[in-house]
Amino acid sequence: MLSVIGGYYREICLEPRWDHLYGSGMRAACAVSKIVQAGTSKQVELHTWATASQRRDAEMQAQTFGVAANVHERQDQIEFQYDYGLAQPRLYPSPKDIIRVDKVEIRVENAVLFSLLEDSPAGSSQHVKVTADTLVYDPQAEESSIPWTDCGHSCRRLAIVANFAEAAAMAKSLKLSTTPNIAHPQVLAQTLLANQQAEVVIVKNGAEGAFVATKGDIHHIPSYKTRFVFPFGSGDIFTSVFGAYWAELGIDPVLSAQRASIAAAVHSNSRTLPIPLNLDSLQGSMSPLKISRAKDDRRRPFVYLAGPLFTFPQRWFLTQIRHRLGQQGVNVFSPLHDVGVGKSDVAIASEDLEGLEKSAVVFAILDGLDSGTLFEIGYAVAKKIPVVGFRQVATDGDLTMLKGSGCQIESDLPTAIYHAAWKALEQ
Amino acid sequence: MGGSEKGSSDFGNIGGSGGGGGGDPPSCPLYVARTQLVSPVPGIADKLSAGDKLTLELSNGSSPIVAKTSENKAAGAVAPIRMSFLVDCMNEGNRYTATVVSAISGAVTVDIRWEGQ
Repeated sequence: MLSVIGGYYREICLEPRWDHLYGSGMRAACAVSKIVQAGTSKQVELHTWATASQRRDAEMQAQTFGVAANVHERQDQIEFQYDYGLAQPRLYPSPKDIIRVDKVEIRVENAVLFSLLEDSPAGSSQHVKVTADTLVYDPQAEESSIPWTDCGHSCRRLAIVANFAEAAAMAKSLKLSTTPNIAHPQVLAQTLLANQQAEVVIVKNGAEGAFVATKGDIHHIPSYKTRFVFPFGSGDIFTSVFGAYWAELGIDPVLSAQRASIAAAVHSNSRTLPIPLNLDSLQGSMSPLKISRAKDDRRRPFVYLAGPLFTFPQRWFLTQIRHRLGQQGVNVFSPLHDVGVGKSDVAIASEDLEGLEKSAVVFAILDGLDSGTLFEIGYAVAKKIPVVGFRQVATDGDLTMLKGSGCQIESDLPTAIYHAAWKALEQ
Repeated sequence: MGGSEKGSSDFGNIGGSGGGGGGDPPSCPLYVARTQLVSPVPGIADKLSAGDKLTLELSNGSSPIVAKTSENKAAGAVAPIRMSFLVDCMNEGNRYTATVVSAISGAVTVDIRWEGQ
């Protein structure tokens, strides 16, 4: 039987509008319920934690997905609050104030384990102890990720699934940072494989895909381009689908990781749960991302960030988008930040156009139909620089010339940001 | 000092009246939520479009709340926030509809609202 052990938390977001109780544990269990049922005729089992008032919600939600829930009690309602989908969340209560859950030992056959906010992360002080035959460990905590050997659980066969930041944090904690080329995800995966005595280590690196390390071998698994980008839970989906196929159904780890990557893309595109069974056939209709990020910042492509910059909300928004585009591995030329205000018209125009000329893509904020932004879009179109525009109130009629000249117009912010970055990185 | 059962009130009721700061639930007529169809039924859910109205029904089957079309065909299930409160309201005779907000790439987003009693 496959057991998922992980959190049940409220996720609230202003844009896109999202208010649900999921968390890694509930999402992961719901995601693989169909895969496990089809492969074993058994339900997925979920071990999670909730307040007394949330218990029925958790049980009903799990039941809707065909998951058998064991809901342990927790004192705090835990919430992740996002201003927008790619923003850093605010956690309530603060992690240091969360009351730790009672001690419990969980013994299962096959497990997918996500670190919990409501338990101490490290070793002997941990209250939740998991023992399994085969286990997939997802450390969850970005720069605070705890290596498997320090986290107090035990298993006979181990796979670790982590993103680059988590893997790097674990390597640093294990004092492996001086290993040659440790900054390369494939070296990170191979180093952790040996040090943590795992059978499989997967290091995910966003648009660059994932590296699967097994004894004596390393494989690259691509990420996939999607029409829409839903920003929550793709990591949970990847880990759980990998765990369902590798740990529970005994599938080869590389094929399991391949299916996990497709599943993450399917969920990102549609938010639909549970994950469908036909992942292999869906792969044929999906485009793998072919991106190799330049390690040297100076060689990264530029995205020109066009938008009105006259009010505080406008300047806040530009600052946010600049940061999120940068996180995708591109350089950003932002007139607000790189040219500034107060200069002469001639100087501003000259410097802005210089920035435009060296950019691979333009990201444009369309609402308000700012004349400067529209000029920059026209200039880009004439120079055959691709344009991705974000709008929420500008109408199709307002955007006739943009739509008619091949500009990509999006109403969803994460989708717009990712597509702009992908266009730049794939050139 | 007890735990924070109330949660945070930063975001109020942006997701629906089932949300809020984790305090007292709203009255049954004020319950609203935006959610996705769970396990959308092929051949039924993929024919839905924005504006279509689905009726929510309690089920004795595996999913507590099922969304049905005007032709009484199950389009999928729903598992919105404060699901147990919604089930209690429906058991008291309150009726709810799920209006399709969008149906794209197999994903059906619906707004759940009180219809009457």
